[in-house]
Amino acid sequence: MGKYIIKRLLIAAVTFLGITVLVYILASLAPGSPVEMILAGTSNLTQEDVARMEAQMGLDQPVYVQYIIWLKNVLHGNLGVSYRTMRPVTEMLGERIGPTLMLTVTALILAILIAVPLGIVAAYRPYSPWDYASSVFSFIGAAMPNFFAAMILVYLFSIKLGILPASGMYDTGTGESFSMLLKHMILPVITLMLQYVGIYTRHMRSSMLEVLGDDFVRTARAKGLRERAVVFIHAFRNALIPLVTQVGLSLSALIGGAIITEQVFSWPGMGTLMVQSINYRDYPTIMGITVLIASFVLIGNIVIDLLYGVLDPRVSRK
Amino acid sequence: MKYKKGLALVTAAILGLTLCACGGSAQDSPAADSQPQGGSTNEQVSNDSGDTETADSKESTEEKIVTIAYDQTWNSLNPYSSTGVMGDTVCNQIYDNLIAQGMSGSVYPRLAEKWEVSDDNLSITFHLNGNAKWHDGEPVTADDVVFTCKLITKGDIVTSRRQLMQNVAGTDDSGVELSTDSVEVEKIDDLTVKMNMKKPMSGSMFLKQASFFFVLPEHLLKDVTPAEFMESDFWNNPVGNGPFKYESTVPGERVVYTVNKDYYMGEIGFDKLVIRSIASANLLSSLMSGEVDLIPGSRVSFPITDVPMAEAQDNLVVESLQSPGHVWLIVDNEKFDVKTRQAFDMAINREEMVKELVGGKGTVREGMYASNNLYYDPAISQVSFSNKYDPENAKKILEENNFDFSQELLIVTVAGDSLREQTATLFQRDMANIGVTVNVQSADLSTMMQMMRDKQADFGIMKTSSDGANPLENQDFFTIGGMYNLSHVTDPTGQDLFSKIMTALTDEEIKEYASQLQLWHAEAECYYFLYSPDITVIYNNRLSNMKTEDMSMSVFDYWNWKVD
Repeated sequence: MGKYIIKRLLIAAVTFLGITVLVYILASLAPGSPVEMILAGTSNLTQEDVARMEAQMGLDQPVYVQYIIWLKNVLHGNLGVSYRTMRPVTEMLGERIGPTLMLTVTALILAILIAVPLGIVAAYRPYSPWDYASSVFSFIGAAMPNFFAAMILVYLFSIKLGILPASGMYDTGTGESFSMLLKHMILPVITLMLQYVGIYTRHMRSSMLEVLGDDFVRTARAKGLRERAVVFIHAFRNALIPLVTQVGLSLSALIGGAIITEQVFSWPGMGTLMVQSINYRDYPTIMGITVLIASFVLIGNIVIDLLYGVLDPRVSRK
Repeated sequence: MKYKKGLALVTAAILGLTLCACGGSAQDSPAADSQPQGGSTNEQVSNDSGDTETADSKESTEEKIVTIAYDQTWNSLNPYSSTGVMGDTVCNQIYDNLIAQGMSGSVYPRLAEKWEVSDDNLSITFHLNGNAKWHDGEPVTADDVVFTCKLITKGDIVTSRRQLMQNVAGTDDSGVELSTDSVEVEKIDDLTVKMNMKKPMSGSMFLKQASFFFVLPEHLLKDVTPAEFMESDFWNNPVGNGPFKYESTVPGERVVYTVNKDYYMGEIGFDKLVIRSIASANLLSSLMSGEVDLIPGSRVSFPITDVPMAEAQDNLVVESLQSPGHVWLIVDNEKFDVKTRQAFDMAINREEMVKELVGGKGTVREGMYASNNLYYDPAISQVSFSNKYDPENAKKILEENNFDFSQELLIVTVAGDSLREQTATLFQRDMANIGVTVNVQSADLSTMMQMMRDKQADFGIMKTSSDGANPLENQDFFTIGGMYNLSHVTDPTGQDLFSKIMTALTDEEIKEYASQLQLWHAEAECYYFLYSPDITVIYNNRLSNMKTEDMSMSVFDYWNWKVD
């Protein structure tokens, strides 16, 4: 197991380097210069002014030189200073990661808690009214675009019923409290959750349906085990593997994927920061976000792989 | 058994959290509480159960809060590194300028209560308001003005806010000092400061730049080196001299201020100001639910399709004001000669654009300056091709000019900006009417401008929030070799006329050159000025007595506001 983890970490390190090289090159190839954004509004700005400023900021160096300098700083724990805000990137990421994880992790956990029972019930009684109801719900959830779901929820709960806030993390200018935060989380979490629930329910249903027809389930029933034990202990554990894979695929979305939901609900997370940074050509922040997402996804995938072993010991033995 | 227990625990936890959240919302929802009163008032939190809030609630039962929303975000609380409209507004609450300039060109006193220009037009003397104080209680003095001038002209500081200093003697063209202490700004006494200009210029032109000059506190920043200035800790908790004191931020989402009770312009009738960044699609719902009190005009992209619904709300007041801002087109001057450009212009149906895109709430543009601009010359109506919509004649001119109708042209617009995107589509339709094929491509603003510079596109769509009173507002687009000469203008006439305006000594002279400029451009057609969408100011009816027309300039007369 130890060897396996070390091997996976080494592969992850190489993948991480590959990702950063690729993003750095792509970002630097984008038209427009951060200097132009910094000096926007300056009268009589000339190409020479921009070139001079780029030289001051080291942006006139070849891309590989800029990348090596950046990587060296990253290895020393320094992600640089944002061109847009003139603040350390680590500080900015620190402020934004919390709100994003608060939304996405809550949505993910709730989605799993809803999708798993829904999928099991649908698979256990296929083509029953329960199954049809869960299918309709999950198709709607998976197919409805986030912004559309958000608009409907805002219209219903904020405008028509007036019971939930339409945007932000806290009420206006009234301090910050946990209950207020929870209240503001409800609509964005439901928006995000709907899609996860739809996808996970479908996976859970098909996987459970397959497992319930397997020989070992028949054997368990033949041994005279109670139906509940057959479903929830024997079948359930085996049916979880595809769901774990699906959750693994959602990991990148945990940090960067809530862009639309964050925008619509003015949620001050990583998604909005990413959009602002890209528009501003704020390379240090773009790279900082890349480092964070890449690390999270790579480590998350290692954890998911280890989870396979826990769920199915045959995977560990292999 | 283990599973059962685990599941029960998790379910209980989720239920608990949900009930807690719902329980709170039933009592203290902003919508339920604030909609009738129309805004963010203290009642919202008075029933909250959190510890922090209990303390807050007692204090906030007497608080009046006003919330302003923009659909953009700010980047810094340092006025010399802030960019964009929301950046301006966020900083404007903390710091005052020497003067403020309204939409009509009126100049309002701020830190400078009066000023005079020398007879030779070579210097201007500002008299500071003796009641102005920093938020820590120290008086604002001439030393602060001199300190700010010397600080921001240091070459180590990268800023786009040196407009004022570009005209002050002792600086280079970009406003950087020529040598140590070369900047000619002089303290006369504690409340009087004199600035010498590089060359004679009219006081009004000089003052237009002074509305972008934020005075900084010498006593708090004197030990910060220019190299440290931008990243100084001071900007995490800035101390200013404006109408509001900085209180807190939720990064990227809001800035909260408390009122400056010693504000020298007058007492302000509410306690807190919150400036929020909200997606444009959510602005209406935030206004309707009472989470936002004010959408302040042209610099916020309030969806035009939402205006009728806003007008139908009992708690909202909608004001439409004629805007000097405009939607306009970049056109490659090197690729298309004057005749071709004139023909293209004759094919653009501006009336239809105003009707279809802004529901008739806007005006067709005849040229560089809107008809409500201080420097607009009515004579342009006679010569402008913008008034001569005639697709048949346009096609004929193109044929006579041997235009290659088989080529496919490209217009690039800004992704996510629906007004620009729709304008591009209508332009495409107008061009198709005369047999010219135009493809539309979307990109972000930086990419669009770079594509125009690199001649990868033939047309580009721009949108400008003009201040209506600055004859130099389009200057950079005509500067030969300049970064913003996006149409690749080669005719130096425009650049020369702008220079003359800059150095004119009287308002009459300025108007004369501005008139020549408009008439020249009506023929030259370096850019196509299409239409001016109206400014829409929307506010909750608990606010009144506001000077809404200046809000698009980030100028707010808070001390006159009445807040219920």
